[in-house]
Amino acid sequence: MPGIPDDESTLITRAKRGSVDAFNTLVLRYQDAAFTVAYRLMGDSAGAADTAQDAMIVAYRKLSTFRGGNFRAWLLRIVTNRCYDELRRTQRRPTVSLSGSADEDAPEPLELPDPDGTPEEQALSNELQRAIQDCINALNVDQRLVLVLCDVEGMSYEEIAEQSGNQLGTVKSRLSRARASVRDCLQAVRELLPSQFRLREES
Amino acid sequence: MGMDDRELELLSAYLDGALDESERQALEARLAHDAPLQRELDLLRETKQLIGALPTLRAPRNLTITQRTQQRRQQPLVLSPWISSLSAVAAAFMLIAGFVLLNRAPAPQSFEGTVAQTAVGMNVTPETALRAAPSVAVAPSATQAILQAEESGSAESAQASAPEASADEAMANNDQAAGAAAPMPTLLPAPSAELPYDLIAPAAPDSEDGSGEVDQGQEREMMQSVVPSEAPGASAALGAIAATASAATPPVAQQQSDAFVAPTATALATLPPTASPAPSPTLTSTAVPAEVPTLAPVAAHETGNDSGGIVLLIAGALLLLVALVTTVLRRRRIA
Repeated sequence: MPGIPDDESTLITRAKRGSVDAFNTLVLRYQDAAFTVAYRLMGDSAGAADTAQDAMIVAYRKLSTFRGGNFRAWLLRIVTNRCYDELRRTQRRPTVSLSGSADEDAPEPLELPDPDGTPEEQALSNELQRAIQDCINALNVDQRLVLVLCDVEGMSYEEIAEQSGNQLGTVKSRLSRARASVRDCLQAVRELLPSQFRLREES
Repeated sequence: MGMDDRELELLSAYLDGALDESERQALEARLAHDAPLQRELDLLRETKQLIGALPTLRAPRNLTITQRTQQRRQQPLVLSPWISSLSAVAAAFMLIAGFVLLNRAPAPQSFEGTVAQTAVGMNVTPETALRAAPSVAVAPSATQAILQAEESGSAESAQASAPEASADEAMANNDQAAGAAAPMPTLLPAPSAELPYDLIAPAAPDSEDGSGEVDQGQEREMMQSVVPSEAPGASAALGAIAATASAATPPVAQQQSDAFVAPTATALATLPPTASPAPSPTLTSTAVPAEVPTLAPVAAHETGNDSGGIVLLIAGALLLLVALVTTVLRRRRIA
């Protein structure tokens, strides 16, 4: 995790006292991360933006419960919880089919230029990104949550267990099954995969 | 991929460095001479890397909040679907009861006894209705208790001859209001009774966040939980009161009016978030306690019925307005 910028605690303090401006400065700083995790979980741009926005409002209201530490992690945790709830809710009352990509007409979210990107790190093609996201969308909600928290957010098993309120063993098995499902799912778009991935599968 | 779940878990945990030392060594020893296992591991590793390589995305719009959006979140209590549904239910009930009262006013003398007794349940209603009306939010328990108490009133008039009067659903209760209208208390269900029941049903089980509590704890916001969580307990208590009211015969009047006033108490109590779950059934009741024991002459009721009916109609109309306005506002807010 990057070090907390000096002014962050000042902003938090001001936001806690009710400054919407200070809070919004923080929002602007983390909104891309928040949207990304929401999008990875929900697989649909509009829904992800709405839910992330909702989460910001919740975060503002719950700011008094922030006891220091990593503000970004705290904020993203609210976002993921919010998304999880939303997914559970729509799963019970499905309005759109959960399988398949959400809306073909929806504009693909834009990628941020990666400041740390090295030339060797081959950026994933848009098609492959889409394919991976579709594979994630095909997972059930619980597996999706664990997968995103671990492989997108880079959280440890313990952190995931704590956040999701599950046993460590549950986290482990969900994660392994999620990864296996995505692995299998990606074989359907083998031609998009980096060559070494393909070769090993064919060998 | 002929791997069992345990092996898969092992490989997956190995990737994350989550195996303890002995497990790790054992697995590495196997991997050294188990090519298929090694290939599985590679595929899983690459899957993990692919997911990890997904880029950070640009939020399609700013997620900043405004003073307004921030406050909008605090309104749901007033604009919650509960309020609309319950207002609608209460309005329907009051309108029906109001019409019943007005039409019943010139009651035939020959049925005096029956009518007067039937009237017990009805006459109390306007009083309570009046009380409930100003406090816009009619709590679920309130409506239910009104309906239940209503039932006990009619049940009493039918007495032993109609034990089935103690039907346990709100559906059955409302038509007894209609039943009470007729000189002879018939307990046949009327089709109109389904309306309030239908309105109650969808609102009752879980408003929005119900599922949220699933298995995750602290960070969930508890905004909406206040009203729903209280309601069952409260209505159960009121149900019990109503039940005792119908069980005892002579002092029914006092108990019934208690049962009638109590719902108002909950209606008011449920509104603020800090409401205590248990309604106090011992509110001062000014609701026509004197009428029951002496099968009061019908004449005494008539004026009361008229004004009571009108009051009910007005209150019902107001509640209907509340239901409409809250519904429209909510729609707007969502849109």
